Amino acid sequence: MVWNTLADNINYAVAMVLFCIGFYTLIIRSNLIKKIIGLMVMQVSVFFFLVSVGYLDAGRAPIVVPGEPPSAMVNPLPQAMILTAIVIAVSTTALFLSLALRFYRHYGTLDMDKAKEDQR
Amino acid sequence: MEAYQHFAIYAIVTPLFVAVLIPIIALWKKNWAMPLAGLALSLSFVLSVLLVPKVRAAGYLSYHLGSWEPPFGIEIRIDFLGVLMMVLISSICLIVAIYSLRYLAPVRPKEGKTFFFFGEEMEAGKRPIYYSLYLVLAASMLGFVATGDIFNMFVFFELMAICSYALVAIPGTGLPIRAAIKYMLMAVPAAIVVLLGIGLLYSVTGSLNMLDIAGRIADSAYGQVIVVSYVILIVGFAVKAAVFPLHVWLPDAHSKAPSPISALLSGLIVKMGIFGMIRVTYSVYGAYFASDLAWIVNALSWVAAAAIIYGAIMAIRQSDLKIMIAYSTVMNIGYIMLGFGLADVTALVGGAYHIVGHALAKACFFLCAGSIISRSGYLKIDDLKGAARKMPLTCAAFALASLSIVGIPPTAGFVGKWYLVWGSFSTGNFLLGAVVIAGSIMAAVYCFRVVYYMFFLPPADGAWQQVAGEAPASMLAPTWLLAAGALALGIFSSWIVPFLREAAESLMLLN
Repeated sequence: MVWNTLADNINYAVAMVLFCIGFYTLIIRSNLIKKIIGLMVMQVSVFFFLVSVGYLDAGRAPIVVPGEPPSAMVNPLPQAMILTAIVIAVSTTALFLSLALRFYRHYGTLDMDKAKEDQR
Repeated sequence: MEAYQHFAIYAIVTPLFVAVLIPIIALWKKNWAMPLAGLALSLSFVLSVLLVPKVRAAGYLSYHLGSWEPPFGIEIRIDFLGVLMMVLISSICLIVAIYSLRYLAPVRPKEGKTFFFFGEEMEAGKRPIYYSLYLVLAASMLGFVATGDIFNMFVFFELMAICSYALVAIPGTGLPIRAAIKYMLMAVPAAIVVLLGIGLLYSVTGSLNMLDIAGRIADSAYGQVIVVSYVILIVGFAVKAAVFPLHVWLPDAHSKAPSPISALLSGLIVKMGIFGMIRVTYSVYGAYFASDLAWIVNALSWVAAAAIIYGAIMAIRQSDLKIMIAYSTVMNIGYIMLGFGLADVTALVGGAYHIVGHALAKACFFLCAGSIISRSGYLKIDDLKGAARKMPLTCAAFALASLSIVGIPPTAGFVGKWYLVWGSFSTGNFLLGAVVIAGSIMAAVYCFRVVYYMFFLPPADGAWQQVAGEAPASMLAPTWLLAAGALALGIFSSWIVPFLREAAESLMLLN
């Protein structure tokens, strides 16, 4: 019973596991690059979840063809949303990586804890 | 369609358009950046002010982007609170942009020394980028409060966030970069979580238009998913608003950023998190508000009380002026959250009034701190002894703003707190009302300590000797404009409160 429910909603379960992996990496690792990787895994898990919401078994591309029922189409809206969100995620990651680079140049380490507070 | 209906979109798009133009024009004319930014922001300001009577007459203003009908296309829907926030955002952005001019490019005084913010040689190159990011930030805040589409709201939210990270880190030295990274480590997951909440909401309602979702939620069969998505959205916005347990990024980011940016961060950007919460709670989840979500909102009011006490204690303990002001923001966010959490019209009026009053006073605080830093280089509160002898006007503006932060009549802070106390007593929450009053007393401790040092103590040996004197007029005028605004909003509160009450009632009526 439980396994059947899980098998039917495998996309949600995978998204949740991915989210937790990303969040764990973000919190536990002290290396900035690893934190950023964790962040990206979190982002991807949310994208995956949203795209899978609009998925349909044996669905068609969302193009109106006379005679075909619209209920057989894959929902295009989550995909459009995720495209926008991916663009945002790319720019956020780029900014974060460039800041990490600057951080490394100033402190000589990528470890947030090792960089001294009073070091300019 | 009449001309005024396009005002809203022009107010949002003009700064975005000019933001793209500035780096291109800067290839030839480096000094045009600030006048162009000022022009764009004043246009936004004028358009927002012109919208006020229109929105008041009709109750709301709806604009369909690209003429696509609302449930399918993106709708701009400005209500009372939205138009109020638009006026606030565009006015403060304009005032702070004027202040930035001399803060980023100080004129050398004849005697004494000046503290260049980026270092003299980097100044000219970075200024256009600064103004460009600044305009995108302003435009995204305007869009955030105006939009009626929940995914569009997320996009503006992220745009605002990215610009604010970049602006915190713009000096390019160690501490600001460290602060920006700390900020990003908390705010980026928060934005992801907001997207997750929107996705959950979409998966059970199948709509992105807020009004449409509100209608569909009312007879939805997925009550649990809706409650979970609400909690997720609130947590996401709470990080951006720096509500007490999630405030860890705020003191660093607000104190290490350039002072004009600190003023925007404290005055406006944290308010956007609160605005997101208010918008989501009343305009989207209105149908669930009274039943399934009441305990969450109720819990938020206790979190807010904790924020008031914690922020006040931490502010009292600080020795660095800007960090003290930043902790004071944590405390005042508690006040605004309290107005929202009590779920009462009077308290919501108090919260909304506090959004405006605190935005003016806190921006004034940071601008004063910026003037003092750029003239003297002093960061510590102990170094401020005798500051009023060299910079009397800046110190007087600081004193006036601190009256408003403490909440002494007749300033804007008093009116907001008055309604908060009234609202919490009338709903029977006497303990929360007592916390509001106790918070005011603690605010007096940390604000008046600084004022006392400035005016009544002699400077330490050798301190303030080299300081050339008062800040230039283009820095003083914005500071005083904000301080006078905080005073005027208190004196003329009888004009504004009915307007806010209407706004609060129209939000509550959606239930």
